[in-house]
Amino acid sequence: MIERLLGAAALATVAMLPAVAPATPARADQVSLTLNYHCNYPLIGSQPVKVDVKADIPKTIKVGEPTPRFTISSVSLVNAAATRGLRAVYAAKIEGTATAYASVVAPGYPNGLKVRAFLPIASTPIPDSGEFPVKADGSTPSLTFDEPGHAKIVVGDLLLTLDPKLADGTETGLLTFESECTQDPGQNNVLAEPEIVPAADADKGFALKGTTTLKTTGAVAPLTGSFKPAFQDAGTFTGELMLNPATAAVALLGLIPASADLAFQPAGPATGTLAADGKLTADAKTDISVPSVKVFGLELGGGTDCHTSAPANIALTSPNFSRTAGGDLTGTYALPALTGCGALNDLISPLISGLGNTISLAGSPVTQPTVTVTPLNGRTQ
Amino acid sequence: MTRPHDDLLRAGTFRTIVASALAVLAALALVVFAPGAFAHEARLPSEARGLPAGTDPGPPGDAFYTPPSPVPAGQPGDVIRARPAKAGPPTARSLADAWQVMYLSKDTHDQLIAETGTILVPKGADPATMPIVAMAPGTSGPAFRCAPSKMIDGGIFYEQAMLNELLKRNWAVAVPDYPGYHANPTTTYITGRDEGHAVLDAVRAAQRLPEAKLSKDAKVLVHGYSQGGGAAMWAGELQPAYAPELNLQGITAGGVPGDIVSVALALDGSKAFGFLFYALLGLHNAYPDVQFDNVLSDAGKQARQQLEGDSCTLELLLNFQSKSVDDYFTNSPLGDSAWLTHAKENRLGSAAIKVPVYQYHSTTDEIVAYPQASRLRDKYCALGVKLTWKPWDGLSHITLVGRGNADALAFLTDRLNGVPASSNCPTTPQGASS
Repeated sequence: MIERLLGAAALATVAMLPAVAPATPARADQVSLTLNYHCNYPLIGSQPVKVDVKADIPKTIKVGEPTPRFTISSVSLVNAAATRGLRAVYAAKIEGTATAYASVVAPGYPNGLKVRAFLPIASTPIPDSGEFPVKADGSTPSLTFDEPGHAKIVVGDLLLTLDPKLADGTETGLLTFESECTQDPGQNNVLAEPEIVPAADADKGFALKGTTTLKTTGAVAPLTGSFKPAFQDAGTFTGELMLNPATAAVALLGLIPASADLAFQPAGPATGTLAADGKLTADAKTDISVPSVKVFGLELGGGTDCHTSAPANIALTSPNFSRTAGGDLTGTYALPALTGCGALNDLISPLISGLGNTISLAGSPVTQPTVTVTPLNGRTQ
Repeated sequence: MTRPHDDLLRAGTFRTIVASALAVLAALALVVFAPGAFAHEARLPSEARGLPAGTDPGPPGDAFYTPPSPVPAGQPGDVIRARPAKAGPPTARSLADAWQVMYLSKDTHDQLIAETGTILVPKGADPATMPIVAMAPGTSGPAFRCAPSKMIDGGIFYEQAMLNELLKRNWAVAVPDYPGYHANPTTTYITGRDEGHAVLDAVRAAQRLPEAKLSKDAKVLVHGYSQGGGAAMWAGELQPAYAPELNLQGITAGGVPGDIVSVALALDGSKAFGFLFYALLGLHNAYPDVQFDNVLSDAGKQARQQLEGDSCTLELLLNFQSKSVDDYFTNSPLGDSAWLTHAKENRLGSAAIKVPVYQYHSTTDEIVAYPQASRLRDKYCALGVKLTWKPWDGLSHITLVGRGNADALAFLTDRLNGVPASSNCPTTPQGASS
């Protein structure tokens, strides 16, 4: 699940699936913060804990682009009194999980969306006495921002689930326990303040380039067009899929040159889904007209009234599509029978309509920056 | 000489005055002496706190723990006051609702006293169907802040793991603090009847707290370790005469200090001396004729302030290591006849426990000596108690706090399911040795 900034009241859980990796990675910058807490331990009571947090969080994030799960590394300083208490129960090492609660403040959500990150604590030896550091590394949930503006990631309280062990690896008398850590007041607890910038391709969509092959004759038509989806919640989209007029050409029986001009008219919006792992599905109902059918360059039929008796339902899928990088779309579709194509309608229609037509398109973002720097010595960087 | 008219007038007025005075006194008596008047007074603050009008929430903060003076009239187990509390850290809070309660009980002299505890009711089932487990806590320590109810509410109770296991099974739990936790505490550590009564009356209080909605017919179990193991056995020995109405089904007790004379002698000069020092104080708090303050050396006086001022379990473990009675006392209380008399009175094993018992102990226990636990087991077996005994090898007293939980839970589950208890008492009775 991708975290969306929807309701401030919802406690969003960590994304379990890998996030979509954008083809042009967002600029990551290391941020760090030191925070003081007081943690409640059984037997030991309330003890101060100093936590250093580092994370790679970019300075800018694009609207609508799910962020990858950023690595968080933390080091907590356990104080001498806590060490004394752990040694009193003969604990020789400690392991567990640190759960960090944070709040993501963003445009439209002034009270912040509550998120949490699970940071496993690898088994750490406990010294005989004195303070010692405990590392816990994990990752943030993936976030998707819907509106441009200024965002703040604010670190809150911690919940430690701790499992100290005797030297032989078995349980101490405390078994596994929870320790609630409250942040000391009055500290700067803003981990990062990324700028949410409008996605450059939000209105311009993707340019499409590819081919379609008619099953009946094997005629191939190069295609160009555009795909402009508007994404909604839960990974669905609705938008426009437009194909430019194209000509399917074939050599009938290997000898006879034939061609059909095709013109595409959307019969409704294209709808579909884009999952967090990049899998895309799209359905576009398209009316297809055949302005001209030629054999040996001679007009056989067609015309403005010649079109599919019902819209073709073009179903496309992509195994790996991203809102910033695009992807490959493929599908098969049926071309319904033609009507209105003139005296030779019933001769022409079976040559064009039928099942199993394939379509293959590469979608690329319209405003992908393509800047190449050519130095004076002629080699491109 | 008065005229006859004046005499009659004065007599009539006098009667009226007397009658009025009697009426006022009767009204006062109803208010002051009616049983349960304190428990059932309706108050807006209790409603505001989410309690139905009925249970007195008591004063806020630490004043909750100060017993009313005089102690209210009533029966052992009556609830004096109750307020919502936390069941522990997040997992516990998701499992159960909790209340801190003050309830009536009886001390070792059979005097009515008021003391505190915690009642926890899981959220996952109908309370009317729940068994009630009295969980007798292990050594918390002499300072006020050590009260188990404070530890539970504060998320720092060291037996939270066992408490959570009971709550996960949808068993209600009553955790007595034992008497004496309030400002200027006077805990009576290791005093058997104080502890046994506290355990049994905590169950009664749980049944009488209206908000808990528990049943008077609920099956009752008792579990405890260390001081709690002793308290659990005391509850078992006392229950038939003290709380016969409770539907007691079984007792699990580990690390039991059955013979505090033997335990005390083993602790003198040891790393765990803090527990002996506390036991001497506790017995003195219960029996004023036991010498304590008047036989403390200067070092002992300082150490004594540390005890009730700020020492809980950890401090007892760490701050008095390798001390001996000679370090703190001008005259050893262990040689004091009053101490010896009362210590012997507080030995377990003189009365049979009528329900199945599971007793466990580490053979290398460094705080509560193993041999006296084994002898207690022999005494119970000789009395015909259906006792299952499990010695553990090579574990510290503290480690067994957690390690013994699984077996204890299995024993308690069997009792609830009506599985007939077995016993591994020796078939030929052992000679009783003391």
